[in-house]
Formats: sequence, structure tokens, C-alpha cells
Amino acid sequence: MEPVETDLSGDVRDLVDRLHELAALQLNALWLLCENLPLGAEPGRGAIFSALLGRSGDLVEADLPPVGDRVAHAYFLSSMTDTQVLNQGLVGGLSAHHPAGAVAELHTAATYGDAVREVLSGRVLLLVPGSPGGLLVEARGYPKRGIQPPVLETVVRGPHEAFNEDLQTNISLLRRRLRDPRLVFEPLTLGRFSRTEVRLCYIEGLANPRIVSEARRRLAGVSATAIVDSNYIEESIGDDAYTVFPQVDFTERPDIVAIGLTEGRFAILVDGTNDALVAPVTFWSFMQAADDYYQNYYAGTFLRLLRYAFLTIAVTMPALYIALTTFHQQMIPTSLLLSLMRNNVGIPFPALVEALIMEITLEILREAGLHLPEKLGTSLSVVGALVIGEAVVSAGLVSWPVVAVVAITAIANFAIPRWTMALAIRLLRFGEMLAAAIFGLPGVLVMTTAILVHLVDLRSFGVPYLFPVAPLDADGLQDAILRMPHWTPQPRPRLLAPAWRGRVRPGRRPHPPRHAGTAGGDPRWAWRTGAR
Amino acid sequence: MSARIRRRAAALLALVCLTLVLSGCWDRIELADLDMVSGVAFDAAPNGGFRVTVSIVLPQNLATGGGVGGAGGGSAGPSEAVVSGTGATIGEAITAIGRGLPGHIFWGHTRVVLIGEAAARRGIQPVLDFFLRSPATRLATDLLVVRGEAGPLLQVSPPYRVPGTDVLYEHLRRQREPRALVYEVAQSLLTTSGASLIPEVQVGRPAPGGSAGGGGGSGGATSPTALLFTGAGVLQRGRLVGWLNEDQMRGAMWLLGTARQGTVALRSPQGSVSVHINRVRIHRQAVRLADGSPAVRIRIDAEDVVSQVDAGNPPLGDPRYLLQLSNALAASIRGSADLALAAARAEDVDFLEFGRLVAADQPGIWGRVHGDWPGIFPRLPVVIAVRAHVRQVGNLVRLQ
Repeated sequence: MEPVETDLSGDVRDLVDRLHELAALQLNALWLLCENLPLGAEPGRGAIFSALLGRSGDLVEADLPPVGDRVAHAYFLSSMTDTQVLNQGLVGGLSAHHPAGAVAELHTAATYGDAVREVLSGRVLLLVPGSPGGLLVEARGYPKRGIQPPVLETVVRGPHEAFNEDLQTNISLLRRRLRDPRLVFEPLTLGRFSRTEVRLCYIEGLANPRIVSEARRRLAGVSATAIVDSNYIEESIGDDAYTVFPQVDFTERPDIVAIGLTEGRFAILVDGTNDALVAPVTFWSFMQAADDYYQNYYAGTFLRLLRYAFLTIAVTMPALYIALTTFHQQMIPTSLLLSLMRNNVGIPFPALVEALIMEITLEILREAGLHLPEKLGTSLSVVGALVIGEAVVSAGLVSWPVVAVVAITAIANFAIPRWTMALAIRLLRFGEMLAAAIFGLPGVLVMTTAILVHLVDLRSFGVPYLFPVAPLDADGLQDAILRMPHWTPQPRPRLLAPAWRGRVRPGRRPHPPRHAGTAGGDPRWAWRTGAR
Repeated sequence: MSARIRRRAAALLALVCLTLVLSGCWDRIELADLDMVSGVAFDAAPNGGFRVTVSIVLPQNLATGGGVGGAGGGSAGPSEAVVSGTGATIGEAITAIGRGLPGHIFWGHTRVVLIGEAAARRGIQPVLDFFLRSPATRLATDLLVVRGEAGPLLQVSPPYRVPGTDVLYEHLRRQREPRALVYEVAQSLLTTSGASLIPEVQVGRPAPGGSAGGGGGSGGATSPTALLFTGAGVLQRGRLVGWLNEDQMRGAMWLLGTARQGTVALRSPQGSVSVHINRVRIHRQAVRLADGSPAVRIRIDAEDVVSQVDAGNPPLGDPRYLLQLSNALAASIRGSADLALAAARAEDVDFLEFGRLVAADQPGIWGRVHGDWPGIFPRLPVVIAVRAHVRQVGNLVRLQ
């Protein structure tokens, strides 16, 4: 019989591919099978762990030195564990019958799924033949950032610490600011594949329990494959699914979170995200910067009021420019109008197109600046300054007043302290501009009214977005509009903390000691006034 | 509702929304398309028609930087173009102007309205009507009358940093001159007397010798192309019926209560002194005489400072001399007020608005007399009391 000449290589390759597919299926099937399987004392369990985790190169299976007649097998991922802890704790500690002293945490795993997840999160699984379940040893160690100053919310005075991507670090940053047993971090795990650790954080007794349970309910409803950033949660827990306004505050500053917690809000910390979510929020909290609380309260109040002016500029200024110059020239003072007209000679575009050219140029620069490596930033700013400042005007595309208006608007927009709100304002500005170009001032008015109606309608975890202005709460205005001194007995926001409690006891205004001789005078200070 | 119907409804809604957009922009005017009228002049044309002259701002020739532009902007051309049109009515005349212009005539910032003598004598009602009816014009625009033709005045460009119309406007704005705004003159047509004063403006030098009256603004011009306020036109029922010279006009301002400031030169044996009136209080009141007939009482309080010692060595430290000075000033004010009163009586035109005063203060009397006010007015008793106080004599005083 003649051997059949066949080229097997193609089939072999195919076979290998099929085997791989099979293996993948096998892994998936194995996982689905074992995920909820109780972890007993069955002898084959080690093989299951090898099969579940062994596909990647970083699984380490090791036999620990025997203790008496007992041996233990360790399973861990070399990428997620700290070798130093392992060497000292496991090899040294366990063999000396001293498990609890050397290891950080000890759990018994209930199912295969739990055990595998724990190994994936960096713990060491110990299986002792013959004894059911397994031991988990805390030996997590993976590269993480140190605590760095905030990038988005910088302050002149005040703490320069920001959250980083590590949940434990973030919790410790908060604990250091609020040392109270009533500060609770409720653990949750979200994301089908990411299994991200999430903490719902609030002060028991201060936060409205109904708001907290609503937060719990909404967090439980979050469905995502992977929670890579806190925005995955933020978008799924808002009250209004279709709004440009942020319904949850996002901050990278632990001090802001601490302030929020003491006001009766709750925070959500997400592992792997260097910011915390704070809710419920109102419109006004987005206009407050951490700085306000760290400097003189007159200055703080002034800046706070000024910021509302910036907000108005950022939303309406280009729209007002368009409306006034194309519909209501009689409303512009004569000399200003003449100056505008002089600058408009020979500009081929309508005011709207001019403004859009400038706005879009600016957006291009802004986006490019965000995504450009830092080293190219200077060249971008040179090009930007030349393009915006000179070329567009010299080429007769845009008039100087429009450049000025758009530039002032952009800077006013930067002055809005919270990035998410600034983003919303940016979008609204374009709507206002279109309304102004089509209908003039009535358009601006209607558009602004529509925005206001939407704001009044909006809620964050049931708290009206414009509270305490609408609905009016006179006490709450002290913090929303002004920045009262820290010694004033300003109440907490009424809707957030149901038990009305002043933050500070009344009568704490600082003052020098009263003069001796007067009622209530302190005789120890008599020497100052010379009274006998 | 099936998906198809819903889709159609959505499309229909989108179309409806689009029509909103289509209807927009209809009255949009870009700045570049604006022909801004800074001043307008109305003259009489033959057969009862009008010749309307407008000065249009040429923005490209305006000087850079603040201010209202500039005539002498180096190599730049004139900052205003003067265009005129003739028609049987004001509307026709303006349409004729519009035919020659590239953009839209824009009345929103018109600052002065000049009316030629002939047109004013014929009646300014059509001019007022145009301003009152058009939504684009401003009712607080200043009216001025011109002896002769008004149109040529718009072509005068004084050698200052601003065009001629702005010179006039700035003068009026600072209340150096009496003002007659469109709506005020229109209102005066409704009163019984129907009389009003409209400042008069002329091209040329100030009258030699000047006058004792105030109004520091109009003097001192040497250029033959200066625009000067030289008096006022007297209107009755919308028609120009006479003129006041500058002295009479100043007196009328005292009596009307619109005088604010002025400089008066006073001569005395010890020397001559200029005093600047810087604070004026004028109280006008109609009273009822014993026989039930009306009378008018006007009290003028003027406070002033010595602004200049013109000649001699007046004893400014001497209270008696200051009293003398005050009395002289009071007499000077009194004199010009008398001139205005005499003019009003001679022409039998109540431009001093005594009728209005009586109607406001003594409505009972007014109800009785307003029917024959023209007969009563020339014989109306008018009591004028003037008090003047020299408040500051200045530092540069040699005390004896």
C-alpha cells in the first residue's frame, strides 16, 4: 500500500486552532460550572485552580514547608502579590505556627468562584489537603501611584492631597479627615468582569437614611461589564437620564468629600478611579471652589458672587453679542456701536458665523491641548495665539470684537470651578448663540428660560437641583450664595440632613476678652486697661 | 400606534420645528450693512415738499481707539458722508436717499435733528410725526433750528476730534444749552399755548463783543467753520414764529428753570471779576392773587465762585465788596430774565410755560382762564426774585 502523500501541516494548524477554541470553551465552561460550587475538601481541587488560573503565566503554585505532618499548597498571582510579604509571612510565619501574626487578613473561601476572585485580587490561597475550604492570606502588592497634588482642582491655600487610583489609599485619606465611627464605607462589587470594588460612604446619623438607601438601590442596579471610571457609575445613578448638567459631583479632593459628608451627603469611592462621586448635589455646589472655605470669608463671598457673573458671561455673552449687533443695534451705546462698526468693515460673515469660527477654533485648540503630550504644549499655544490672535483677524475672517468676546467667554468658562459643570456650560453656549442668531434677544430670553425650567425640574437623588433657591430655604442661602464665616451657626442643608443641626454652636464669634470692670469682664486682663 | 405612524409623526414634528428656524433672521441686519445716520436736516422744498439731508457715518474712516471717531484721522477720509434727497413728503425724501445707499438706513443713533428756517415756519409737525411713528427713531433726539438752510450745516466739519453733529450733541448733552427733545416739543403741542423753544445753531464766528450771559461753551471759537449756539427759535403750535437772541435765550433758561451754570463778567469801580455760577436752584410757582387772577413767582438762587480777576485789584476779602458782587450778579441774571420775559410778552408766545405752571399749581384758576390765555398771558404779573451768593473767592487773593 502506497503511503498517501498528504500535507498535514494545514490540518494540524487547523487542529491546533480548534484545540485552542476548545480550551477557551473549556475555561469558560469550567468557570461557569465552578463559580458557585462550594469549595470542599475534595482532592482534585488543586487541579481545578490550576486549570482556571493557569492559562496566564503569572500563576504560582507552591508547596509550603510542611508543618508537622501537614502540608499546604499556595496559589497566587505573582503580578498581584508582594513577594516580600510572601517570604516573611508565608514561608516564615506559617511554618512557625503563627499565621495570624504575620498575615494581614485571613478568610475562608466559600466557593471556587470566591477563591478565584480573591486570588485575582492579589491574595494568596492556601489549600490544606484534607481540610475543607481554603485560607486566604493578604499579600497584595501591586504598583500604585503615590499621593499627588490635585490636577484639576488646585488651590492656593488648603490641603494639596488628591485621591489616587487605589481604594485603600482613598479610604485612608478620608478616615484621616473624619475620625468618627459613624463614618461608614459600605462595600460593594460592581462590573461583571472588572469586579470593581466600590464603597458607599456616608456619616450614619447625619445623612438622610432614605437618600442613602436610594443610593444603595441605584448602585445595585448598575449593570456594566467593566467599571473603568467612576463615570460608568455616575451616568447610571442620575435622576434624569437626559441632561447636560452633572447630577453627581466628582472631585479629586478628599477635603471636598469630607465637607460633603459632614453636610449629610454621601460619597462613592471606586477602585481604580482617582476621584470620588459626591451626591446629592445642587447647582450651587458646582459653583463653589474648595478655596472659598480656605480664605477670608469676605474674599470667599466676593469670589463666589463673582463666579455667578462669570457663569452668566460664559453662557450668554457671545449670544448677547450676536443678538445686539444683528438685531438691536439701537441698544448699543453710540460710541460702542461706532467702534464695533469700524471693526466690522469688510468682514464677509454674519456675526453668528464669525462667533462660530472663533468658538470652534478655540474648541479645537482646547481639545488638542488636552490630548497633546505636554512637551508639545508650548508649540500649540504659540500656534493658537497666532491663529486666534492675529491671523484670523488679519485675514479679515473675524473681527476683533468677536475675538475679544469669545476669549473673555472662554476664560470665564475656565473660572467655573467644576469641570463637569464647565462642560455643560460650554454646550449650552452654542444653543444660546443659535437662538440669538435666529430670534435675537427674545431667543436668548426663551433659551435661558428653557434652561432655567430644566434646572428647576432637575433633581439629584430627590433633592431639587436649585435648592435652596428654588424651593426657597432662607437659611440655606447662607452657604449657596454667600460664604459665611466658619464660626457662624449656619444650618446644614435642610433636605440633606433631616435632623436639623447647626454645624457650629451659636455664639462662637471670636473677640478679645471683655474689659475688666465691665459686666462679664475678665479680671486677668485688668492690666491691659489699667482698671483697678 | 404603529411604528410607521410614530415615525411619520416624528418627521412631521421635525418639519414643524424647522419652519420655526425658517421664519427667523428676517430682520437681521449685520453691522457691515448698517448706514448709521448721525444727524439729519429737514429743509423746505418747493411745492410743500421736503429736502432731507442725512450724514452717514463711514466706519472705515473712524479713528482707532475710543471716542466717537475722528474727522482728522490722518490719511483717512472724512468720517461722515452727507447725502440728501427730495420728495413731496419726508417719507419720499428718505426713500430717495435710501436708493443711493448700499445698506439699511439706521435711525437708532441719530443724535441731532436740524430744521431749516423755511421748513420750521411751515410747521415741524411732519418732522415730529416721522419721529413719533417710526419705531427705529429715538424720541429723546435733540431738535435744533437753523436760520436759512439746515442741510449745509451737516457738511461743516469743525477742526475737532469729532464730526460736527457730535460737537452739537456733546454740547447739548452737557446741558450747556437749552435742549428741545423731540418728545418734549411734541408734548408742548398738546398744551394750550402750544409754545416751545428750540435752540438755534449757526455756522461762523461768535458775535463780536459777546454777551454778559453765561454759556461758557459757545465762546472762544475762532475757526469760521465752528458751529455755534446763537439763540433760540420760538415755536407756536409747531410753527416757527420768532427768534430769541442769546441774551434772551439765557434769560429764558433762568425763567424756565433749566439754567445750570454759566460765567458772568462783572465790572465795578475796584476792578472787574468773572464769576462762575456753579449751583443754581430755581423755584417756579403760580399763585392766586386776591382778586382771583393768576400770577407767577420765580425765585432764583445762584451760588458762584470767583473764577477770574479780569482787571484792577478788587477787595475780594471784604464782605461788603462780596455783597456788592452778589448784588451785581443778581442784577445781571435779573436783567437777562427781564429780556426774555419782555420778548415773550411782545410776541405773545408763552414759551416760558407759565400756562403749564398755572395749570399745575392753580388748576381752579386755570379752568377759568385757559380759554383766553393768549389775552391774559401778556399781562400776567410775574415776580422774579434773584439771590446770588459768592461762595468762594479763590486762593489768589491779595488781602488788604
